[in-house]
Amino acid sequence: MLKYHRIGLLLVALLAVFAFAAVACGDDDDNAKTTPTAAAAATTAPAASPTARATAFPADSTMAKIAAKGSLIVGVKFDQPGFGLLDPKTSKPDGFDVQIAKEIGKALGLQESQVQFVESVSANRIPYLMTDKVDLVIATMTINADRKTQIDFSRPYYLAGQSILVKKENTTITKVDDLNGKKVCSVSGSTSETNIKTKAPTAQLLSLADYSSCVSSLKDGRVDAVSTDDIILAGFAAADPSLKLVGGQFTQEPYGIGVKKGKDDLVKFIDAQLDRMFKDGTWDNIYTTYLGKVEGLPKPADARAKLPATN
Amino acid sequence: MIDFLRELVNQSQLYYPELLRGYRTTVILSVLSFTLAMVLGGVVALIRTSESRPLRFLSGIYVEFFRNTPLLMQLVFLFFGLPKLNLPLIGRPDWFLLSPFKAGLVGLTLYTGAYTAEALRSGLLSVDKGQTEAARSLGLNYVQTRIYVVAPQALRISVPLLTSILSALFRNSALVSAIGVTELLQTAENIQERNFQTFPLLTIAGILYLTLTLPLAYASARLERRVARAH
Amino acid sequence: MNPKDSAPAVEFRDVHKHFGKNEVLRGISNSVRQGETVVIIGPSGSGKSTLLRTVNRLEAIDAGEVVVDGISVHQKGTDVNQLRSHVGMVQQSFNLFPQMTVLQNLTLGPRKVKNESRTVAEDRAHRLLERVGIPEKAAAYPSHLSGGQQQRVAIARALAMEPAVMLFDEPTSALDPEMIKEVLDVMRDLAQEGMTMLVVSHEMGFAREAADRVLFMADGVIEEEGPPADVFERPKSERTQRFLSRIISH
Ligand SMILES: Nc1ncnc2c1ncn2[C@@H]1O[C@H](COP(=O)(O)OP(=O)(O)OP(=O)(O)O)[C@@H](O)[C@H]1O
Ligand SMILES: [Mg+2]
Repeated sequence: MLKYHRIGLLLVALLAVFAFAAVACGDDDDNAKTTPTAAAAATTAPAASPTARATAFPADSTMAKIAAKGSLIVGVKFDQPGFGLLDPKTSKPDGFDVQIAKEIGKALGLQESQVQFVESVSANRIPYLMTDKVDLVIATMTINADRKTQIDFSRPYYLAGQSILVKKENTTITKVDDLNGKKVCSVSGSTSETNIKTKAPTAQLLSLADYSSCVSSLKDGRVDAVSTDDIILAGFAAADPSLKLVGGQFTQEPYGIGVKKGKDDLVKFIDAQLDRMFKDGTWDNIYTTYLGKVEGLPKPADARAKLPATN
Repeated sequence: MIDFLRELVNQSQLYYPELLRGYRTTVILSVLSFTLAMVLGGVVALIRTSESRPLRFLSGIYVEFFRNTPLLMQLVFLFFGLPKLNLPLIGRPDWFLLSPFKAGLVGLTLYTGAYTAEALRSGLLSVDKGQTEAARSLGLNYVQTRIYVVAPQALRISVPLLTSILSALFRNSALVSAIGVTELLQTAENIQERNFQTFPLLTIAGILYLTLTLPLAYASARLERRVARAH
Repeated sequence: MNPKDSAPAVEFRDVHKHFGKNEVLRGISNSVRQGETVVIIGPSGSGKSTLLRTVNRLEAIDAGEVVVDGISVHQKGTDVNQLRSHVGMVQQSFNLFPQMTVLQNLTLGPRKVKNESRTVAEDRAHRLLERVGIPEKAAAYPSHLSGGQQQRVAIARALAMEPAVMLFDEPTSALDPEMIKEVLDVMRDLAQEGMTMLVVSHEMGFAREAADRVLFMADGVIEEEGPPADVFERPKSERTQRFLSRIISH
């Protein structure tokens, strides 16, 4: 009896550890979602060029393998307005990142229905790539040195920057320095959190699991500000007139497409496709469709001009 | 395997100040809320075994509610829900705007208090009625009898159960990361978010949890044997 | 002093008590004088324990009255804790407090009920342990004592409250035979020193030597009473005879 009790305790403790490990790696197969067969959004990009035919890829290339398998699996966010947001009516994600994924799928010679989307929350993105759960991650992922040691990135396809969300009546916080001594919420373990620690060292940080919790805390008065990428905050500000964005961009967060290491040909292919989208107006169209209405963002051409050429 | 062990040592060396900070938060939060839960549980157990029917009923509701709903839900409610209720206020509105640590402390105390109450209640009920009669025969009143005679014996009987409750508390305390407390597990996750050494870091966290729970499991088994012998 | 002359220490006046349909005490009337030792005998279930427990209100009664030292025990206004501090009780299963030392067992009542100082309570406790023959056990825990020693501590614990009346409910029936004597010796001394005692016991030797009076209870009534010699040698009631022949043949 006693022995079992003790072993039981040990097992529970160990199980707890491994359960968390499993969650952190996101071994969850239920999230795979396929795109609608009907054309989703107003992308007016020209049809894929003949060079992008499946038959045109070298036999051993990653592109040929994806084309042969007949599906491109892409990790996107399901909860990020403007970039990847699940449409509750269709149960399909839509947004900037989703459209970029569809463009790449088209260039690989795939039907739109062959581009499949898997929800990737921030913590899942790299593990999903490493375990081949997805072919690409296009999920508002900032290119940084740490991550580059784990995965490869395409060239930047969007340039976000960290900004500050406050209540509309707040007049004391107008720039990042003002966060010193104030209560600021961010997501635990995120780049944004680290940035606040360096740019406003005496800010009192509240670290929660996601940004909607942060916004809720802001509205309750538990914190004075929420800080992360402007594009994330813009989504909340657009949905809630009692909130506003201040302080401009005090960091640069270039978003890149994540690819598992060892697929250089795919990275090159994606870079070439992004380059094409910048040039033929596809990128500008996507930008206008999903971000055109957000207050305070630059015109598509200006936004495109600011993009760094390499990661 | 060798690589994994090397990485374990490596990660421990690199991040021990941060990991120890998380460890300390876990220990402080757990020990503090256990202390409070013992007081709360003691009072509730005395009420639950008292002669007043309405009080027994109310304390029963408390115990069953907190034992039969998820701890995570209770924590999220305390942290996010409470400020939104706009309670008809006795005090100031920001009294209900608990900091993560306070909300965690209150939540873990309320939750664990329901369990300690049950453990202590079963302890109280298993103290021989003759003890009460002997004390009352001396002229001790109801409260004196329970405090000086019955409660100490109940506590002793409950010790094995209470140790497993404390052990569960150490493990459950990981849930307060959901309301912004950077405890041990969250610390490990934050580090792995930066360097992606997920498994070494979770293993280190697991080992640190075991330093808290294994001694308790051992003590609990020993105490249980001792109580079994005493009966 | 002569017990026959003194005022009653305990008086039962037509006491009735039932548990559900079971009428356990059916009109008990009797009077125990100060300094008197009364031994109650009778078959199992006849109501002996219940009667004893009405004296310190561990058991309520349905009709009649119990008076201790002029105080009506079961009246509404009676301070039951005050009353109990004057009535010592010793039960079959010692019921010492296991988490306390012998000394603490003896001082708990005086200190908490009478608010005595520690030194006063401990002085008396040591004297009482001397009296019951185990002064060396003051610091011991009950679990380290023999049954006989435990019961002597229980007696000392009751005496520590300086009671006017002592109740004993089969104090030796849980003891091994070799320990019975040491407990009875203490009780006999107590009786000799003039303590008022109500004792439920089937120890005939003790009753013969120490009792002023023996009550024989059967079916909730006092079937017969008298000095031990009369009740034991010349029982009037046929039930008493049958009962006595049964326990003596044991
Ligand atoms: N709390 C109680 N509830 C119900 N019935 C009880 C209770 N206490 C005693 N009785 C019943 O009352 C009757 C008298 O019990 P009591 O203990 O007074 O007898 P007794 O003469 O002391 O017997 P014994 O020699 O076995 O100790 C028994 O029938 C017993 O079952
Ligand atoms: Mg009896």
